[in-house]
Amino acid sequence: MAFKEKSAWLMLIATLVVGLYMTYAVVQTSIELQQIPAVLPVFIKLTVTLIILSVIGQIVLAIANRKQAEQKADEREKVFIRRGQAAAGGVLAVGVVTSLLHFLVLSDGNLLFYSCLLSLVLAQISEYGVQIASFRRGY
Amino acid sequence: MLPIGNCVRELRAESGEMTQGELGERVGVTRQTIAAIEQRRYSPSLETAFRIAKVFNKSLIDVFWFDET
Repeated sequence: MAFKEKSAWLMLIATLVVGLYMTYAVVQTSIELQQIPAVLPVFIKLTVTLIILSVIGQIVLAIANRKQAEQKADEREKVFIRRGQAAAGGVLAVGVVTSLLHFLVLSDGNLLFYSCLLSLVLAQISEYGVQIASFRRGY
Repeated sequence: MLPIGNCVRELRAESGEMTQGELGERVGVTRQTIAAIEQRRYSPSLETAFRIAKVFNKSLIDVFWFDET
């Protein structure tokens, strides 16, 4: 497996874990409090957890695959990365526009924040998913 | 399969069983990219195609050709 693919798998898993945790925490708190929870504590937890998981994971990956890690992405890998970024851009655009539209209806700032954050998480999941699919397929 | 045929695998074998990784290192791509080229799942850039041909001391059209079949 190419190093870039391993890296994409790592980031996909980290983003999924953090995204699922965030979704569960927000939904659970909303049910308990009957309102959308405050954004800052969840955002801080999400950001810090994701940074720690990805930084530690990438360091471990780089140590285990030292030679591969030093190489830049080759031409084929760059195509896969751009494809993933294009998918992420589309998902993010749809997510943010949807969030803005339902803010117009509901006027809930916290909900808008979480919707946009979820869109960002889904965009990242799409990016890594498309990259991995490209690597698996080979083209 | 993409319409760019090639004989990279055969040329590697003729060159003293050069591995995909060794060829990749010499032309600046990964082993997986060389494998994808050989299996016609990826068409290399012109520069990479020239580099591969140069490794085997061949001209470009001796290594790659257009094959729509």
